[in-house]
Amino acid sequence: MPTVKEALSGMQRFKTLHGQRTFWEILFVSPQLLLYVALTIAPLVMALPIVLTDRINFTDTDVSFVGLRNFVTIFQSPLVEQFLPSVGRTVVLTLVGYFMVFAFGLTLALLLYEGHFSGFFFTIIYMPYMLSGLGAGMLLNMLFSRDQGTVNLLLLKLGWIQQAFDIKQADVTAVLLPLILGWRYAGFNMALFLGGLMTIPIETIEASKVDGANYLQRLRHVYLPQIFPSIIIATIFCLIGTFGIFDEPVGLGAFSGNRSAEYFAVTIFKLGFGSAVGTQIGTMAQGIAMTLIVFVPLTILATYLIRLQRKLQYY
Amino acid sequence: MTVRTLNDRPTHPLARAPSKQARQRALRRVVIGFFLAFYSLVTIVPFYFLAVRSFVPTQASTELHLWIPKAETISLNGRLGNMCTFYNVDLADFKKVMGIVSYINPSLTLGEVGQKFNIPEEKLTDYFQNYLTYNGMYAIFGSGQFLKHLVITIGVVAVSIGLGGLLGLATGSVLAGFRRRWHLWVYYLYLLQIAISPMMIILPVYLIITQYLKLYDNYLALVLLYIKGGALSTMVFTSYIGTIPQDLRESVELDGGNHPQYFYYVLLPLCKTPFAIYTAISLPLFWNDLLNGFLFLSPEKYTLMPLINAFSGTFATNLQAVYSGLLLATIPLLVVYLIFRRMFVKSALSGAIKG
Repeated sequence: MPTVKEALSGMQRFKTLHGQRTFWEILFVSPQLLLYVALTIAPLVMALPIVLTDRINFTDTDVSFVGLRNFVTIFQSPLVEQFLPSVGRTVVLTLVGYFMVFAFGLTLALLLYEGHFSGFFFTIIYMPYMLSGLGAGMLLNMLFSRDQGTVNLLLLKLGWIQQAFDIKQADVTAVLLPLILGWRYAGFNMALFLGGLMTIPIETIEASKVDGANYLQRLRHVYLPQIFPSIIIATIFCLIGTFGIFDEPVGLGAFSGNRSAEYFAVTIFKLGFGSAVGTQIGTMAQGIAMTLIVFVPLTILATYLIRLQRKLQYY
Repeated sequence: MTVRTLNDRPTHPLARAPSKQARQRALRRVVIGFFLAFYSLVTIVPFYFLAVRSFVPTQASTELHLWIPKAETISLNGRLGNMCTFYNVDLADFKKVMGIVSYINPSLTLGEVGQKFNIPEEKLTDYFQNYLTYNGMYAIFGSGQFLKHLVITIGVVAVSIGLGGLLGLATGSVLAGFRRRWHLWVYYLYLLQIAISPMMIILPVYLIITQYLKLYDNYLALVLLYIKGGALSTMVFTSYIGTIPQDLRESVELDGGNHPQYFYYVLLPLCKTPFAIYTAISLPLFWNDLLNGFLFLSPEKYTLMPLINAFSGTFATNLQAVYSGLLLATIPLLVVYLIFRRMFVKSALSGAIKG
């Protein structure tokens, strides 16, 4: 008696329901999967051969194998003067930005949750997301440039400050840029936390009230533990998003000489596409080396966080 | 048996005095509402100032303007050449509007020009008046060619959303329910995209697009990058289609149909919601995208955001134009947002819940 498998040899396989379904499933999944693998997964793999060479830019044909030397040269002068400050700046931005996620997002979510508001305020709070990242950077210039910034002029006129904020200074940017980011993503983060808050069983809150907990205690012991999955997602998005921030620094003038706006993505861009923006400070291979050093740990961390969140989601 | 008397009858809700708890709740709501209203006002302020600054002449930009300023009156004693430089006027356009064909000496004052060519004074002052307040607008529509790039962007974004939604639906139609092991693996592969920053892969992606696919300066490069799918779109479609009962699919199969027919006759009509959510997520993403347009297109073919970025170079001395451009690039999205706001709100919440 032939086994089912033997009987389904060759094209016979496609005559069963299972076979037919599989055929169509593969057909429908393939187009997007192909694009996705080619444009998101494959590049990850492709970076590896390039980083082991001395490829200067995209049109370089005289490429030779240099092993791991790129990983050494980026820590040496002159590149290290671009690399380390840029990374440091980005790390600081991410930390402050992470605080802003909670300052804006969690606060607003709690306000909306406790006040039983929805629609109208949500719409307004989400609106800044419609402005582009480039626009947000330009807005920072518009509001806080030393000579023409609207906020500066207003505050000077009111007499609240003696000297204008200069957005071109590194420490001013380090405070104001996270503010603008917090403003822009307020709606998104608020929605994240609100979604988490809405999943809290109300009995837990009432029970804590009965036990005499005040609001801060409720927040710490009842709310926050139960919205932990949302916190993880907010962390992932903040981490990945802020580390790769590109549009806002460009709006701030990163390509027109504003050194305080040179965040990590800008540095990588300048290395990889130096000819496009006029400055070639290193090779493309070195740019990829930098990318790998910074982003690979980040991606591993983010992947771990994703898995943690999925596990916690259904406890 | 208890006898109910008049005194036992429950009072009407409106006639009852509010309990202490209810009063406290109402008060809390008012206070919270107040804070939210304050934040809402602060949130809108940057947009307001962008609109104001778009109509503030560059020469006046070192003064504080809290509202659109009234344009100063044009004096007829200004020399033509100076006026043209001051207001960024194109002399050829001026001549065309005034009907002057011959050469004008730029050192003539406006009054003298009016006398020499028989142009009424009001026409001259009106012409330059517009250039004060609307200078930015003139600049971006004239040499900035804003309209052309707006149309380009609308086209690219519309096509990307349409195709991306279709592909997302196709993927979701297969993955929903995770009936096979490989469905789950593909799903996880898509989820990985959250952890992959675009900047991380931009260099190899550029290599692939320009050298292997030879798609430099081709809109197809942008469209492909937009429709390739990611975590958010896959999650939205997969989870929504997962809520559609399997009976519908089995009934199609019972009638002798296959997957494409299931897709076309059952899924497409039913999936308006996830498609709308996908649109609400993708629209700001594609419309505001700077990196891809800047990298893969030549300046002639720019979409809006790379164009605005280019403005800060070409109109470096005319900030009013840059802000006008930014304002006009943001307004279409804002309008769509305000009209379809419920869909955007839903998309934000669903991104939160599904994630």
